Amino acid sequence: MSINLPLVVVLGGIIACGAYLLMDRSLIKMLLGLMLVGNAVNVLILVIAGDSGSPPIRGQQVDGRPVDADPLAQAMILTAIVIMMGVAAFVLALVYRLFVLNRDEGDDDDDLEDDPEDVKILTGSLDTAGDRDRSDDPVTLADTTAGDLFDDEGHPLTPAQFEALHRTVIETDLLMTDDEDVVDELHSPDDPDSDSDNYAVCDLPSPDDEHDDYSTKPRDEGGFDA
Amino acid sequence: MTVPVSWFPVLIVMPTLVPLIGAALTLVAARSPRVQRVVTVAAISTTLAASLLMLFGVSKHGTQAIAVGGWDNTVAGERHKRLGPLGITLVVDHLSAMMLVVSTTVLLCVILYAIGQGLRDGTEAQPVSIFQPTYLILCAGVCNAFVAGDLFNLYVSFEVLLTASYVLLTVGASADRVRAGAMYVMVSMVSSLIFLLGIALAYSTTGTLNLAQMAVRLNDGTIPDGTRNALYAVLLVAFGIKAAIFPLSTWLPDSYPTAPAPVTAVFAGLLTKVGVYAIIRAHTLLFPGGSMDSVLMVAGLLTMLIGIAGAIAQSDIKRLLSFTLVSHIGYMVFGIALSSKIGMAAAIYYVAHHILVQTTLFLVVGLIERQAGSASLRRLGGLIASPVLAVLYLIPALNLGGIPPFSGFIGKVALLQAGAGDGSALAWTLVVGGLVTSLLTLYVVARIWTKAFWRARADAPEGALSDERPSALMDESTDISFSDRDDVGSMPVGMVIPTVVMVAVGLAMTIWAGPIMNYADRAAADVVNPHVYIHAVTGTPAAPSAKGGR
Repeated sequence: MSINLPLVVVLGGIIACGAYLLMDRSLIKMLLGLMLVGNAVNVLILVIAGDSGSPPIRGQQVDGRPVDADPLAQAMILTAIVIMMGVAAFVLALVYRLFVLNRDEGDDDDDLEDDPEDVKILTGSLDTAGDRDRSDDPVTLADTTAGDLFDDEGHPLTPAQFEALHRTVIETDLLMTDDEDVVDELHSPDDPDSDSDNYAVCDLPSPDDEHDDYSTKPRDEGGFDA
Repeated sequence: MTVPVSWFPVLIVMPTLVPLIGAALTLVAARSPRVQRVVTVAAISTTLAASLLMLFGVSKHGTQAIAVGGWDNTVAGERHKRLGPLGITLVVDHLSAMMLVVSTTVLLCVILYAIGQGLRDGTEAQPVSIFQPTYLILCAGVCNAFVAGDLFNLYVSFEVLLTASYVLLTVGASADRVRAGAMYVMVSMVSSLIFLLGIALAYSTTGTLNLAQMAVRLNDGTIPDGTRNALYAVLLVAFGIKAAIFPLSTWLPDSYPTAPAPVTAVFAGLLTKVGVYAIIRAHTLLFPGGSMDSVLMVAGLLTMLIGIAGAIAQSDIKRLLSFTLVSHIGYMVFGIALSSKIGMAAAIYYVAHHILVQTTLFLVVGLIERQAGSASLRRLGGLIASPVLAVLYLIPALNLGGIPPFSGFIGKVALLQAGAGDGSALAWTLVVGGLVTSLLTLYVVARIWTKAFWRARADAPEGALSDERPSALMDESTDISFSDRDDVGSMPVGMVIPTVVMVAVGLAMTIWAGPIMNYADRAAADVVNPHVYIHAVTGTPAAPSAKGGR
């Protein structure tokens, strides 16, 4: 069997274009890329099906010799086209839905949104992070003894702000044991000195209020170092 | 129980046809939810019954094949006798029958659970009428993939189940589901196109689509090794994306957790396993000889370790379990890559065990969401107040971690034995990696246990927030807010009973581990000897080919 070289070159070009379009963030362009690659694969099936011009029925004569085109390849292409059409219709419905959703937010494009978990990992921000270790600096993500005393922009928090954040966000059972002194300095929000910008100058309060459990809680409940 | 061979032409098409007819009926009855439920449950129950009959029949009579529409060699005449069937072939052997029984069991339990849950917890505006037809089409696709004896038929059944899964994943079409769904559709389509590419290349190499004929022609010594390996590599990439083998697995934890609990459960249990099943078929039937063993071993090792490392970093239980799902696919790849009968038996047992356990865990997470309004470890706490839920979680969790005497332990021990029996350095690395993964899995599920169940709710960092609005259940403002619901904290019997049944089936795999392992052994014996399959399809006596399986 001889290979139809122009068709092979064409399908290579189509696949390249399709792969390029698939790299885009816009769903429409990705769909176009998929359809291009799909058509290229159909052309590939056509190429492998044999010479052109033969009837897809066994026993027909061309130039005095019995030849037949491959009906199976044509059945496969037909099926693949139908499947691709169905999926394209579905993706278009998704694109329209995405358009409607984004239009409500005043941003009408069909770009694929970022995965929220990826964003969390990338930004590493204090109020979106997962199981945070309190020794992380929220900006550099480097280990610090008092990492959670910074807000998202890296500014130091007042003890009152820290206390408020701590109650809502930070994983209480992941405290480092050697950080207890830092926490002890902080855990009385109504301390007269607590509005100071510098946590280091806070007075040490007596550990008697109801919030002191996060500093004395045992750490063996499945923290990272358990 | 005896099932005559003459029943097979009817039985073998039932897992595909019955759900499809059921889907048509439920679509007609879209305005009557009660009729829909009855038809759906009846269709899947019938499928389960047919699968069980085939299981008994196959274990008595061996591999059975039929040519759909009577397009077999007798119709084509003596001239094509040696070519085997002309039309589409459906084949059921030990492996297919077992996968069918496990899958339909899971599908039945999950649909009962979904009915109990009411799919979206009582939101009236959701288009629930399409859920059950789509679910039945998914069922037809999954079942057809297991009996397909023809590469293009396998592709079509993949497409059927994938198209159904697109709809199920984006049902309700909230922003995060559209995002997750769009990515899932794109990745799945790319894998389908690679599969189609592989089919085109395999067809041009062998001139047939029938798996048995293709197996004969690929291994009769006329095809160069390089061509065989290239074909296998293309197909492996396509199946690897579907089975979520590292590095082709990153799509899975991004798409599965946003779906409703029953949908995630059935996806986690079945869709990746269809990919694993396809890899088993390709590895043993089309390309025996283990040319890709070391590639698969490295991929399996990385899948195990990187998957479980991802699970450790998660605080949302659904995402966490999605990562353990990826991780445990590695065990199955490990068993397949050993290319030995004992390794394959262990892999087959592990597939069955993992379908049941992973589905059960996602169902339990659905109950947790229902109970506590959240699936985030940062908001959960004090669930031990509901001992039923605690037991329902603990049993499959320990099972997943591989604590004796559960089926997970049996499967892992079988895998490790097979790995040690192989004896190569890579196999021993995989044994160690499997042990490490097993321990880390235990750590991960114990972390859920200590945080969600044992810790007091007040100690959870965001414990107070979870009462406001359960994000995992209701993600748009049109949904009913948690405080407006009158069933907070209650566990609907309709959801608990299917979960209990799933846990019980998981325990049954432990109690009857001996017979099931025996069955897996016979399935593996069938699978590693491709002549059994080829003989059943083409009718030619089993002549050893040039590159027979070892």
